[in-house]
Amino acid sequence: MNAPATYLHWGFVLISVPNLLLLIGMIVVFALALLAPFPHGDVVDEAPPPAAPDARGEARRG
Amino acid sequence: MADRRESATGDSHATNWTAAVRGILERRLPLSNLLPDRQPYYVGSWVYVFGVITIAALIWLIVTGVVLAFFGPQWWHVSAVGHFVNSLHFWAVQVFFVFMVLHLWGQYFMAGWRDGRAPTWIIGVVIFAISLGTAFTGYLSQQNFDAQWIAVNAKDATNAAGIGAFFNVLNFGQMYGIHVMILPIGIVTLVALHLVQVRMRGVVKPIEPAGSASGAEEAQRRREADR
Repeated sequence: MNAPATYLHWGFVLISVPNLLLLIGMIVVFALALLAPFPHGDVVDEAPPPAAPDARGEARRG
Repeated sequence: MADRRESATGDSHATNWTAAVRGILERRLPLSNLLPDRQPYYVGSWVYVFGVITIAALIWLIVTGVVLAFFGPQWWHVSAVGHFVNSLHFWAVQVFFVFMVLHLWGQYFMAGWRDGRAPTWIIGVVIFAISLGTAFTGYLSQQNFDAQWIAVNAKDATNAAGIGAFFNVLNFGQMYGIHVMILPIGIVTLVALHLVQVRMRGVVKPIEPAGSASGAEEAQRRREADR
């Protein structure tokens, strides 16, 4: 970690390998968050929370 | 002293600012919204965890930052414990930014500004911008060659932008003060406001598929709203 990073260069795109790996890792985590089942996700309440009325006194949609 | 009067319809009208503020809070931020014990079914997704992890990282940043500020640069550069706390602060920053950006992606793709949530979105954008400034002044506050290198290069950029005279990146005291006091106060205040906004309106609902009945209703409603 204490050495200059290797850089990848395609046209106008210039990115270091650590930055590229971080970016790929974030995309993987995001995809997993969408696909992975949430623990006890099937037993949470079906009803939306009570919406606070706005300034005009109308309830907001959940 | 009476601080409100009843109208013929039973509505109460505040006659002083204390009662007016209380009335607004009671209407817009009831305790059941502020501290809910039930959530809608769609909150059962990992996407909704990104924001919480970001806040956890922020708390960890503040705790380690207070320790670093108390003992000072000498300590965090030469002692083993100082190195460790410095590393905790550094890695908490990585977690903070990674999950803040994942939270941003999640809210962007589900259009988190819908149904009166524009203030929540805008405050989040401002928090992100202030965080960039805090990270930058943090790099300048390391008191090492890396910080000197960044400061000397940034000096040209800030001078060219016309702000170098009053935002002097070569002035450690100024950068350190901005990093440990001014910007963190802004971030913590706006995060609190961001959370209150979320609790006032609830978590945004995922966008319905275009083919579904409710999705078609939503599309029709938006077309009418755009007219």
